[in-house]
Amino acid sequence: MDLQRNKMHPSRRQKLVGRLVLLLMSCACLVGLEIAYRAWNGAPLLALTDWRSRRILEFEAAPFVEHDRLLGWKHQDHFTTSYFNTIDFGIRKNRPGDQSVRPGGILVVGDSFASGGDVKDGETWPAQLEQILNIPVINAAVGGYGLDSITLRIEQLLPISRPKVVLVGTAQAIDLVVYSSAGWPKPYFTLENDRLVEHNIPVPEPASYEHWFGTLKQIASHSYLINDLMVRYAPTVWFSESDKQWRKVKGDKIKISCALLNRIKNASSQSNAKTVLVMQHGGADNLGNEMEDQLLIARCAQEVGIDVIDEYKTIHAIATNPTAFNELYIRGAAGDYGHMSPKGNRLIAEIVAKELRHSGSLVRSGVESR
Amino acid sequence: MSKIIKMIAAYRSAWLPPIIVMIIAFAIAIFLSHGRIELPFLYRFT
Repeated sequence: MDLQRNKMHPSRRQKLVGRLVLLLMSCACLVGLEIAYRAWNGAPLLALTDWRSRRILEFEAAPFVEHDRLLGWKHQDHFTTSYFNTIDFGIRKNRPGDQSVRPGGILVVGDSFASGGDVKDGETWPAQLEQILNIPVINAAVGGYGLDSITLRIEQLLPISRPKVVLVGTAQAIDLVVYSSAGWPKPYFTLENDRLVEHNIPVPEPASYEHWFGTLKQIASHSYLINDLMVRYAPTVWFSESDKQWRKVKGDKIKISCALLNRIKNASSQSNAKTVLVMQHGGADNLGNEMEDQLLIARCAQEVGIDVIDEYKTIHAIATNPTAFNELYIRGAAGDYGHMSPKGNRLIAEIVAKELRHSGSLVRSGVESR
Repeated sequence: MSKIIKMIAAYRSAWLPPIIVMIIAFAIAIFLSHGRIELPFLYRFT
Protein backbone atom coordinates (compact mmCIF):
# COMPACT_ATOMS: atom_id res chain seq x y z
CA MET A 1 0.00 0.00 0.00
CA ASP A 2 2.81 2.38 1.01
CA LEU A 3 4.76 1.43 -2.06
CA GLN A 4 1.78 2.19 -4.27
CA ARG A 5 1.34 5.64 -2.62
CA ASN A 6 5.02 6.42 -3.18
CA LYS A 7 4.64 5.60 -6.83
CA MET A 8 1.59 7.87 -7.13
CA HIS A 9 3.22 10.88 -5.45
CA PRO A 10 5.92 11.46 -8.07
CA SER A 11 3.27 11.24 -10.77
CA ARG A 12 1.15 13.96 -9.17
CA ARG A 13 4.21 16.05 -8.55
CA GLN A 14 5.29 15.56 -12.13
CA LYS A 15 1.88 16.74 -13.33
CA LEU A 16 2.04 19.79 -11.09
CA VAL A 17 5.57 20.64 -12.21
CA GLY A 18 4.56 20.03 -15.81
CA ARG A 19 1.69 22.53 -15.53
CA LEU A 20 3.93 25.03 -13.81
CA VAL A 21 6.53 24.69 -16.56
CA LEU A 22 3.79 25.11 -19.17
CA LEU A 23 2.54 28.27 -17.46
CA LEU A 24 6.00 29.77 -17.05
CA MET A 25 7.02 28.86 -20.59
CA SER A 26 3.82 30.37 -21.97
CA CYS A 27 4.52 33.64 -20.15
CA ALA A 28 8.17 33.54 -21.21
CA CYS A 29 7.15 32.89 -24.82
CA LEU A 30 4.69 35.81 -24.84
CA VAL A 31 7.47 38.09 -23.60
CA GLY A 32 9.86 36.45 -26.08
CA LEU A 33 7.41 37.01 -28.93
CA GLU A 34 7.07 40.69 -28.02
CA ILE A 35 10.85 41.15 -27.82
CA ALA A 36 11.46 39.24 -31.05
CA TYR A 37 8.87 41.37 -32.86
CA ARG A 38 10.44 44.55 -31.53
CA ALA A 39 13.89 43.33 -32.60
CA TRP A 40 12.56 42.53 -36.08
CA ASN A 41 11.19 46.08 -36.37
CA GLY A 42 14.17 47.81 -34.79
CA ALA A 43 12.14 49.06 -31.80
CA PRO A 44 13.59 49.46 -28.29
CA LEU A 45 13.55 45.94 -26.87
CA LEU A 46 12.59 46.60 -23.27
CA ALA A 47 10.93 50.05 -23.30
CA LEU A 48 7.63 50.19 -21.39
CA THR A 49 6.05 52.63 -23.84
CA ASP A 50 2.39 53.35 -24.49
CA TRP A 51 2.74 52.69 -28.23
CA ARG A 52 -0.86 53.56 -29.04
CA SER A 53 -0.63 57.08 -27.61
CA ARG A 54 2.58 57.68 -29.53
CA ARG A 55 0.67 57.53 -32.80
CA ILE A 56 -1.53 60.41 -31.76
CA LEU A 57 -0.19 63.85 -32.50
CA GLU A 58 -1.42 66.19 -29.84
CA PHE A 59 -1.63 69.88 -30.32
CA GLU A 60 -0.67 71.29 -26.91
CA ALA A 61 -3.73 72.45 -25.01
CA ALA A 62 -6.27 72.16 -27.76
CA PRO A 63 -9.28 73.77 -26.09
CA PHE A 64 -9.27 76.10 -29.09
CA VAL A 65 -11.43 73.64 -31.04
CA GLU A 66 -15.23 73.79 -30.96
CA HIS A 67 -18.04 71.79 -32.52
CA ASP A 68 -19.34 73.10 -35.85
CA ARG A 69 -22.60 71.94 -37.43
CA LEU A 70 -21.22 72.15 -40.98
CA LEU A 71 -17.53 71.30 -40.65
CA GLY A 72 -17.55 68.94 -37.64
CA TRP A 73 -15.25 71.24 -35.71
CA LYS A 74 -13.25 74.41 -36.17
CA HIS A 75 -10.96 76.73 -34.27
CA GLN A 76 -12.71 79.13 -31.96
CA ASP A 77 -12.87 82.74 -33.08
CA HIS A 78 -10.52 85.15 -31.31
CA PHE A 79 -8.78 82.48 -29.27
CA THR A 80 -5.66 83.76 -27.55
CA THR A 81 -2.61 81.97 -26.13
CA SER A 82 1.11 82.65 -26.29
CA TYR A 83 1.50 80.51 -29.40
CA PHE A 84 -1.95 79.98 -30.97
CA ASN A 85 -4.21 82.89 -31.82
CA THR A 86 -7.18 83.28 -34.09
CA ILE A 87 -9.26 86.04 -35.65
CA ASP A 88 -12.77 85.81 -37.18
CA PHE A 89 -13.91 82.40 -38.50
CA GLY A 90 -11.22 80.69 -36.41
CA ILE A 91 -8.56 81.76 -38.90
CA ARG A 92 -5.08 81.47 -37.38
CA LYS A 93 -3.02 84.63 -37.07
CA ASN A 94 0.26 84.85 -38.96
CA ARG A 95 1.44 87.83 -36.95
CA PRO A 96 0.31 89.38 -33.66
CA GLY A 97 -0.99 92.39 -35.59
CA ASP A 98 -3.53 90.39 -37.66
CA GLN A 99 -6.98 91.57 -36.64
CA SER A 100 -9.33 90.72 -39.50
CA VAL A 101 -9.55 88.73 -42.72
CA ARG A 102 -7.44 90.40 -45.42
CA PRO A 103 -9.09 89.73 -48.78
CA GLY A 104 -7.43 89.45 -52.16
CA GLY A 105 -4.50 87.22 -51.27
CA ILE A 106 -4.00 83.49 -50.80
CA LEU A 107 -6.45 81.29 -48.89
CA VAL A 108 -4.94 78.17 -47.30
CA VAL A 109 -7.32 75.42 -46.17
CA GLY A 110 -5.95 72.07 -45.09
CA ASP A 111 -5.26 69.84 -42.10
CA SER A 112 -2.84 70.12 -39.18
CA PHE A 113 0.27 70.25 -41.36
CA ALA A 114 -1.03 73.44 -42.99
CA SER A 115 -2.58 74.73 -39.78
CA GLY A 116 0.79 74.41 -38.06
CA GLY A 117 0.41 71.70 -35.43
CA ASP A 118 2.93 72.09 -32.59
CA VAL A 119 4.43 75.38 -33.83
CA LYS A 120 3.75 79.02 -33.04
CA ASP A 121 1.60 81.26 -35.22
CA GLY A 122 4.51 82.80 -37.12
CA GLU A 123 6.20 79.43 -37.68
CA THR A 124 3.46 77.77 -39.77
CA TRP A 125 4.13 77.44 -43.48
CA PRO A 126 1.26 79.79 -44.46
CA ALA A 127 2.73 82.47 -42.15
CA GLN A 128 6.21 81.95 -43.61
CA LEU A 129 4.76 81.98 -47.14
CA GLU A 130 3.34 85.41 -46.39
CA GLN A 131 6.79 86.57 -45.27
CA ILE A 132 8.38 85.31 -48.49
CA LEU A 133 5.75 86.57 -50.94
CA ASN A 134 4.76 89.67 -49.00
CA ILE A 135 1.09 89.19 -49.83
CA PRO A 136 -1.76 88.26 -47.44
CA VAL A 137 -1.98 84.54 -46.73
CA ILE A 138 -5.03 83.43 -44.75
CA ASN A 139 -4.43 80.30 -42.69
CA ALA A 140 -7.88 78.72 -42.43
CA ALA A 141 -6.54 75.15 -42.07
CA VAL A 142 -7.80 73.07 -39.15
CA GLY A 143 -6.18 69.99 -37.63
CA GLY A 144 -7.84 66.66 -38.33
CA TYR A 145 -9.76 67.86 -41.39
CA GLY A 146 -10.57 65.50 -44.21
CA LEU A 147 -10.86 66.79 -47.78
CA ASP A 148 -14.64 66.89 -47.17
CA SER A 149 -14.41 69.47 -44.38
CA ILE A 150 -11.72 71.28 -46.37
CA THR A 151 -14.09 71.56 -49.36
CA LEU A 152 -16.92 72.92 -47.24
CA ARG A 153 -14.63 75.40 -45.50
CA ILE A 154 -13.29 76.67 -48.82
CA GLU A 155 -16.85 77.20 -50.05
CA GLN A 156 -17.66 78.99 -46.80
CA LEU A 157 -14.65 81.31 -46.92
CA LEU A 158 -14.42 82.11 -50.65
CA PRO A 159 -16.96 84.97 -50.50
CA ILE A 160 -15.39 86.31 -47.30
CA SER A 161 -11.70 86.15 -48.21
CA ARG A 162 -12.14 86.72 -51.99
CA PRO A 163 -8.73 85.09 -52.65
CA LYS A 164 -6.77 85.09 -55.90
CA VAL A 165 -5.27 81.70 -55.10
CA VAL A 166 -6.67 78.82 -53.01
CA LEU A 167 -4.08 76.43 -51.59
CA VAL A 168 -5.53 73.06 -50.58
CA GLY A 169 -3.22 71.42 -48.03
CA THR A 170 -3.37 67.65 -47.57
CA ALA A 171 -1.34 65.36 -45.37
CA GLN A 172 -3.95 62.95 -44.00
CA ALA A 173 -6.99 64.64 -45.51
CA ILE A 174 -7.41 62.08 -48.30
CA ASP A 175 -7.58 59.10 -45.92
CA LEU A 176 -10.18 60.83 -43.77
CA VAL A 177 -12.86 61.19 -46.48
CA VAL A 178 -14.09 57.68 -45.69
CA TYR A 179 -14.67 58.42 -42.00
CA SER A 180 -17.96 59.65 -40.52
CA SER A 181 -16.20 60.32 -37.24
CA ALA A 182 -12.51 61.14 -36.92
CA GLY A 183 -12.29 61.85 -33.23
CA TRP A 184 -15.47 63.88 -33.42
CA PRO A 185 -18.34 63.39 -35.88
CA LYS A 186 -17.67 65.00 -39.24
CA PRO A 187 -19.35 65.56 -42.60
CA TYR A 188 -18.64 63.05 -45.34
CA PHE A 189 -19.61 62.43 -48.94
CA THR A 190 -20.47 59.39 -50.99
CA LEU A 191 -20.64 59.07 -54.76
CA GLU A 192 -24.00 58.16 -56.23
CA ASN A 193 -24.15 58.04 -60.05
CA ASP A 194 -20.85 59.99 -60.05
CA ARG A 195 -22.45 62.78 -58.04
CA LEU A 196 -21.30 63.80 -54.58
CA VAL A 197 -23.94 63.27 -51.91
CA GLU A 198 -23.32 64.84 -48.52
CA HIS A 199 -24.01 63.05 -45.24
CA ASN A 200 -23.96 63.83 -41.54
CA ILE A 201 -24.83 67.50 -42.05
CA PRO A 202 -25.75 69.07 -39.69
CA VAL A 203 -22.96 67.29 -37.89
CA PRO A 204 -24.13 65.95 -34.50
CA GLU A 205 -22.35 67.09 -31.36
CA PRO A 206 -19.68 64.71 -30.04
CA ALA A 207 -21.04 62.28 -27.47
CA SER A 208 -19.36 60.11 -24.85
CA TYR A 209 -19.30 56.35 -25.05
CA GLU A 210 -18.12 53.93 -22.43
CA HIS A 211 -15.84 51.11 -23.52
CA TRP A 212 -15.79 48.01 -21.38
CA PHE A 213 -12.41 47.16 -22.87
CA GLY A 214 -10.87 50.53 -22.11
CA THR A 215 -8.59 49.21 -19.35
CA LEU A 216 -7.66 46.15 -21.38
CA LYS A 217 -6.75 48.43 -24.29
CA GLN A 218 -4.60 50.56 -22.03
CA ILE A 219 -2.63 47.51 -20.90
CA ALA A 220 -2.37 46.14 -24.45
CA SER A 221 -1.13 49.55 -25.66
CA HIS A 222 2.20 48.72 -24.06
CA SER A 223 2.73 45.83 -26.44
CA TYR A 224 4.52 46.90 -29.61
CA LEU A 225 3.19 43.85 -31.42
CA ILE A 226 -0.47 44.30 -30.45
CA ASN A 227 -0.32 48.02 -31.21
CA ASP A 228 1.28 47.44 -34.60
CA LEU A 229 -1.32 44.90 -35.68
CA MET A 230 -4.28 46.87 -34.29
CA VAL A 231 -3.13 50.07 -36.03
CA ARG A 232 -3.04 48.16 -39.32
CA TYR A 233 -6.14 46.01 -39.04
CA ALA A 234 -8.54 47.61 -36.54
CA PRO A 235 -7.65 51.31 -36.23
CA THR A 236 -11.21 52.47 -35.56
CA VAL A 237 -11.52 50.15 -32.56
CA TRP A 238 -7.99 50.79 -31.38
CA PHE A 239 -8.09 54.59 -31.40
CA SER A 240 -11.66 55.16 -30.22
CA GLU A 241 -11.95 56.39 -26.66
CA SER A 242 -14.88 57.35 -24.49
CA ASP A 243 -15.03 60.87 -25.97
CA LYS A 244 -13.26 60.29 -29.29
CA GLN A 245 -14.78 57.98 -31.85
CA TRP A 246 -13.39 56.70 -35.13
CA ARG A 247 -15.95 55.37 -37.58
CA LYS A 248 -15.31 54.34 -41.13
CA VAL A 249 -17.87 54.36 -43.92
CA LYS A 250 -17.88 52.52 -47.24
CA GLY A 251 -16.44 54.43 -50.14
CA ASP A 252 -13.54 54.80 -52.54
CA LYS A 253 -11.37 57.51 -51.04
CA ILE A 254 -9.59 58.25 -54.31
CA LYS A 255 -12.79 58.69 -56.34
CA ILE A 256 -14.45 60.76 -53.60
CA SER A 257 -11.32 62.92 -53.20
CA CYS A 258 -11.12 63.49 -56.96
CA ALA A 259 -14.78 64.54 -57.04
CA LEU A 260 -14.16 66.88 -54.09
CA LEU A 261 -11.14 68.42 -55.83
CA ASN A 262 -13.31 69.00 -58.89
CA ARG A 263 -15.92 70.70 -56.67
CA ILE A 264 -13.22 72.90 -55.09
CA LYS A 265 -11.89 73.80 -58.52
CA ASN A 266 -15.39 74.80 -59.75
CA ALA A 267 -16.12 76.86 -56.64
CA SER A 268 -12.75 78.63 -56.86
CA SER A 269 -13.10 79.30 -60.58
CA GLN A 270 -16.52 80.88 -60.01
CA SER A 271 -14.80 83.22 -57.56
CA ASN A 272 -11.99 83.87 -60.06
CA ALA A 273 -9.45 82.14 -57.87
CA LYS A 274 -6.79 79.68 -58.99
CA THR A 275 -6.63 76.35 -57.14
CA VAL A 276 -3.37 74.68 -56.17
CA LEU A 277 -3.04 71.39 -54.27
CA VAL A 278 -0.18 71.28 -51.75
CA MET A 279 0.55 67.64 -50.95
CA GLN A 280 2.38 66.89 -47.72
CA HIS A 281 3.18 63.52 -46.16
CA GLY A 282 4.23 62.19 -42.78
CA GLY A 283 7.97 61.98 -42.10
CA ALA A 284 8.01 58.19 -42.38
CA ASP A 285 6.20 58.38 -45.72
CA ASN A 286 8.74 60.87 -47.07
CA LEU A 287 11.51 58.42 -46.17
CA GLY A 288 9.89 55.61 -48.17
CA ASN A 289 8.64 55.30 -51.73
CA GLU A 290 5.96 57.69 -52.92
CA MET A 291 2.59 56.09 -52.29
CA GLU A 292 0.35 55.12 -55.16
CA ASP A 293 -2.62 56.94 -53.58
CA GLN A 294 -0.76 60.24 -53.69
CA LEU A 295 0.11 59.78 -57.35
CA LEU A 296 -3.52 59.02 -58.20
CA ILE A 297 -4.71 62.12 -56.37
CA ALA A 298 -2.08 64.28 -58.07
CA ARG A 299 -3.12 62.92 -61.45
CA CYS A 300 -6.84 63.57 -60.99
CA ALA A 301 -6.14 67.05 -59.59
CA GLN A 302 -4.18 67.88 -62.74
CA GLU A 303 -6.95 66.44 -64.90
CA VAL A 304 -9.44 68.96 -63.50
CA GLY A 305 -6.96 71.81 -63.92
CA ILE A 306 -5.52 72.05 -60.42
CA ASP A 307 -1.77 72.68 -60.18
CA VAL A 308 -0.03 70.28 -57.82
CA ILE A 309 2.86 71.07 -55.50
CA ASP A 310 4.18 67.88 -53.91
CA GLU A 311 6.83 68.12 -51.21
CA TYR A 312 7.87 64.49 -51.66
CA LYS A 313 10.76 64.78 -54.13
CA THR A 314 12.46 67.64 -52.28
CA ILE A 315 12.09 66.15 -48.83
CA HIS A 316 12.83 62.58 -49.90
CA ALA A 317 16.11 63.84 -51.41
CA ILE A 318 17.04 65.42 -48.07
CA ALA A 319 16.65 62.01 -46.40
CA THR A 320 20.14 61.11 -47.65
CA ASN A 321 21.30 63.44 -44.86
CA PRO A 322 19.47 62.07 -41.77
CA THR A 323 20.44 65.02 -39.57
CA ALA A 324 19.03 67.54 -42.02
CA PHE A 325 15.93 65.39 -42.54
CA ASN A 326 15.26 65.00 -38.82
CA GLU A 327 15.46 68.75 -38.31
CA LEU A 328 12.40 69.17 -40.54
CA TYR A 329 10.11 67.43 -38.05
CA ILE A 330 9.06 67.67 -34.46
CA ARG A 331 10.09 64.30 -33.12
CA GLY A 332 8.80 62.17 -30.29
CA ALA A 333 10.93 60.75 -27.48
CA ALA A 334 11.56 57.58 -29.46
CA GLY A 335 12.44 59.43 -32.65
CA ASP A 336 9.07 59.14 -34.35
CA TYR A 337 8.07 61.88 -36.78
CA GLY A 338 5.30 64.31 -35.89
CA HIS A 339 4.28 67.62 -37.43
CA MET A 340 6.82 69.75 -39.25
CA SER A 341 9.20 71.93 -37.27
CA PRO A 342 9.51 75.68 -37.92
CA LYS A 343 12.43 74.80 -40.21
CA GLY A 344 10.36 72.18 -42.03
CA ASN A 345 7.54 74.67 -42.48
CA ARG A 346 10.04 77.19 -43.83
CA LEU A 347 11.09 74.68 -46.46
CA ILE A 348 7.45 74.03 -47.43
CA ALA A 349 6.82 77.78 -47.69
CA GLU A 350 9.89 78.11 -49.95
CA ILE A 351 8.77 75.18 -52.14
CA VAL A 352 5.25 76.61 -52.45
CA ALA A 353 6.52 80.14 -53.15
CA LYS A 354 8.96 78.88 -55.79
CA GLU A 355 6.33 76.74 -57.52
CA LEU A 356 3.71 79.49 -57.46
CA ARG A 357 6.18 81.91 -59.05
CA HIS A 358 7.56 79.33 -61.48
CA SER A 359 4.10 78.34 -62.72
CA GLY A 360 3.08 81.97 -63.11
CA SER A 361 0.09 81.35 -60.82
CA LEU A 362 0.64 84.57 -58.88
CA VAL A 363 0.95 86.75 -61.96
CA ARG A 364 -1.95 85.10 -63.82
CA SER A 365 -4.23 85.39 -60.80
CA GLY A 366 -3.26 89.03 -60.40
CA VAL A 367 -1.94 88.64 -56.87
CA GLU A 368 1.58 89.63 -57.92
CA SER A 369 2.64 91.98 -60.70
CA ARG A 370 5.19 91.04 -63.37
CA MET B 1 24.48 17.38 -16.16
CA SER B 2 22.83 14.34 -17.66
CA LYS B 3 20.24 14.48 -14.87
CA ILE B 4 19.28 18.02 -15.92
CA ILE B 5 19.04 16.95 -19.55
CA LYS B 6 16.86 14.04 -18.52
CA MET B 7 14.65 16.42 -16.55
CA ILE B 8 14.29 18.78 -19.51
CA ALA B 9 13.49 15.87 -21.79
CA ALA B 10 10.93 14.56 -19.34
CA TYR B 11 9.04 17.86 -19.35
CA ARG B 12 9.26 18.52 -23.09
CA SER B 13 5.48 18.14 -23.41
CA ALA B 14 5.21 21.19 -21.13
CA TRP B 15 7.81 23.51 -22.67
CA LEU B 16 7.80 22.51 -26.31
CA PRO B 17 4.21 23.53 -27.28
CA PRO B 18 4.57 27.18 -26.13
CA ILE B 19 7.79 27.50 -28.12
CA ILE B 20 6.20 26.04 -31.25
CA VAL B 21 3.16 28.33 -30.81
CA MET B 22 5.49 31.32 -30.32
CA ILE B 23 7.43 30.57 -33.51
CA ILE B 24 4.20 30.18 -35.52
CA ALA B 25 2.76 33.37 -33.95
CA PHE B 26 5.95 35.28 -34.79
CA ALA B 27 5.78 34.16 -38.41
CA ILE B 28 2.10 35.18 -38.64
CA ALA B 29 2.84 38.55 -37.01
CA ILE B 30 5.67 39.25 -39.47
CA PHE B 31 3.38 38.33 -42.36
CA LEU B 32 0.59 40.58 -41.05
CA SER B 33 2.98 43.46 -40.35
CA HIS B 34 3.16 44.14 -44.09
CA GLY B 35 -0.42 45.44 -44.15
CA ARG B 36 -0.64 49.13 -44.95
CA ILE B 37 -1.18 51.59 -42.13
CA GLU B 38 -4.02 53.78 -43.34
CA LEU B 39 -3.55 56.49 -40.74
CA PRO B 40 0.19 56.75 -40.05
CA PHE B 41 -0.54 59.32 -37.38
CA LEU B 42 -3.61 60.78 -35.80
CA TYR B 43 -4.28 64.35 -34.96
CA ARG B 44 -5.84 64.80 -31.56
CA PHE B 45 -7.52 68.16 -31.59
CA THR B 46 -9.41 68.06 -28.31
